[in-house]
Amino acid sequence: MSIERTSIHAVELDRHVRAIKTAGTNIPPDTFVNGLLSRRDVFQENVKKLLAEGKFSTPYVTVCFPEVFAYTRGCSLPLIPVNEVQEAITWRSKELFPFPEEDIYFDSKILDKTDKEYRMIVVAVQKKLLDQLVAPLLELGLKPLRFEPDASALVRLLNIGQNQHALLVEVNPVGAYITLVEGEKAVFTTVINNTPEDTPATYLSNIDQTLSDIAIFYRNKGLLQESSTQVFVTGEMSSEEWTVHLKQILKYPVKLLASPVPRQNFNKAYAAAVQKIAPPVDVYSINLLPTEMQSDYDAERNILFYKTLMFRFCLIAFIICLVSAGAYVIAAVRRQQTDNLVKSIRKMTQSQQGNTQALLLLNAQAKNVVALSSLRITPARKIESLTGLLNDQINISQWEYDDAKLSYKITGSAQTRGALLDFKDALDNSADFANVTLPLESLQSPVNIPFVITFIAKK
Amino acid sequence: MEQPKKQINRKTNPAYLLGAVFAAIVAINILFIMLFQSEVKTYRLLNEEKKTLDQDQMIIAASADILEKYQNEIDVISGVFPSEETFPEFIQAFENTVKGHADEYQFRFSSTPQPEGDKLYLPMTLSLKTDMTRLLLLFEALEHMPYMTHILGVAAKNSGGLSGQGQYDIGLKVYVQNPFSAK
Repeated sequence: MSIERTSIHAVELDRHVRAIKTAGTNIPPDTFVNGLLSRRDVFQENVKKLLAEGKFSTPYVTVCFPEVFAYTRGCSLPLIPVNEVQEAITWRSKELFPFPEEDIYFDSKILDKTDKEYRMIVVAVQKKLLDQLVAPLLELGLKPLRFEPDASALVRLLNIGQNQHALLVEVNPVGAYITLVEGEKAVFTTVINNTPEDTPATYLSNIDQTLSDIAIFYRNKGLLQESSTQVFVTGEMSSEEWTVHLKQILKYPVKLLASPVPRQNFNKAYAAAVQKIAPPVDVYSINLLPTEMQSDYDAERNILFYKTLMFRFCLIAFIICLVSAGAYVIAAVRRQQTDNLVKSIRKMTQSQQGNTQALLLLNAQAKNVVALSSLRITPARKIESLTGLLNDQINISQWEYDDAKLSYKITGSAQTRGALLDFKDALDNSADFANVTLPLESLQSPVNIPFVITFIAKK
Repeated sequence: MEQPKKQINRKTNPAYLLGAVFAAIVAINILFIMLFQSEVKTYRLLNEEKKTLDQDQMIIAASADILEKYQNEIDVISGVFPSEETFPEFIQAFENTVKGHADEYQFRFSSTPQPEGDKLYLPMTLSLKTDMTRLLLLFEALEHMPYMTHILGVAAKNSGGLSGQGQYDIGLKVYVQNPFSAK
């Protein structure tokens, strides 16, 4: 965007630096008074009109303003680290500009580097001028990224060598500017105002006269050599006729300043837009953007970076979360289905469990029956066998049987010792009994013998 | 004069908000993963249970066949060990058996089952007056009763000789259901 005294022009470039949108509007001459914005509302209205006309797709804007309100100085610095150049210039600014440091925005640019020093230009503008521009632009939603004097911007379109000189002549209906350019540096700008008292003829005559004077002045100072000097014409009133006319006056090669935008009055806006944007701290470009704004932009960019980063993280986490949620839902559905199935089988099983339990109980009982079947056998057969071993001379009065030991204890009397011994022998020889014990004292008497005899049953 | 600084709209850093959202999403994600793991674990357990239940079903189906096929035998085996509920039936059967083989008799039993390994039994004492022949028949009858009894010992006093009339005290066990009581 180029802001001039009576007009505003804007050009939007694409990534291939092609002008894709342009818009321009005239503003009343009293909008700016001595470079200060005096009619803010009018200025804002016109910028709004410009934005509506251009339908620009970006709020980011690089702004150039009239060179006459800026101060450009050349200086040199000893070779110091590049990151210390800005601080060194800060110290030098007090002697370079006729304003207190706190009243100006300034920036520097390294033009050349020799074995001993940097050759630089330092550009300054009064804070009150720039601040009055910044605030309305911000209010309109624009984001200024760079401010620079328009001649400094136009110089980039000249393509002249570092030691060459040129006169940049800008002719507008309300005034003309003649800037001496050295390499990439706009050295000095002279203003020719078209005052209400001027007629077109006197205005043009003033331009011719001033140009001639300047040319003579700088030629006498050895700056404008015939072999290396060119004159460029631009501005709302520039035309081929002007180039022919000036060639006759100045005797230097004269050409219309060319830019990809066909209309001359968009040259400044194009020149402002075409330069790669660098922050004020960059020592290879001029950017008068207030440093606090740059800090805000840096902060905003950081925020945007982290916002984008976090947004992407959130997006990835959200996708993973969706996958997890999906997996959970699928697992939950499968679990629920299996649970329902298990419940139905369990219910069915429980309803039929009686059979199994009965069978299990039966099985346990059957095992017990098998295990205990031997215990069911009573001593009946052994007692029957014992009865068969008795003879008629033995009388049994009592007997005991212990199943744990399979032992028998028989108490009785025998009519003769022989009968008792026969009974003992019968027990000894029996297949059903063993360990027959007859105490010896039972054999003391030959007849009517009381006895107690013990034995065990064979299994 | 307005300061440009004031024109920059200083908003709360949305990265913090997004960070909080990110943390929340991660937390939710962790929650979902934990829930997923829990569901998978439950699903596996349910699957295992289902396999077991399927096997049980097969057993149940086989059980039903067996129960149907061997119902009579099962009824017999089921009655071998009387429960608290069926014990009176045992007592009646036991008394009927003893009654036919003794002139006089009396028996006592404990109402509290005693453990023997995984089995339970009720101790009983049977006192009767009879002769040897009927005693042996009683023993045989006890062996053929559809109950599980075990004679622990016999003490006999035979005033009329071994085969004559005598007083018999018989200690025995009656094996019962485990558990004996359904309560």
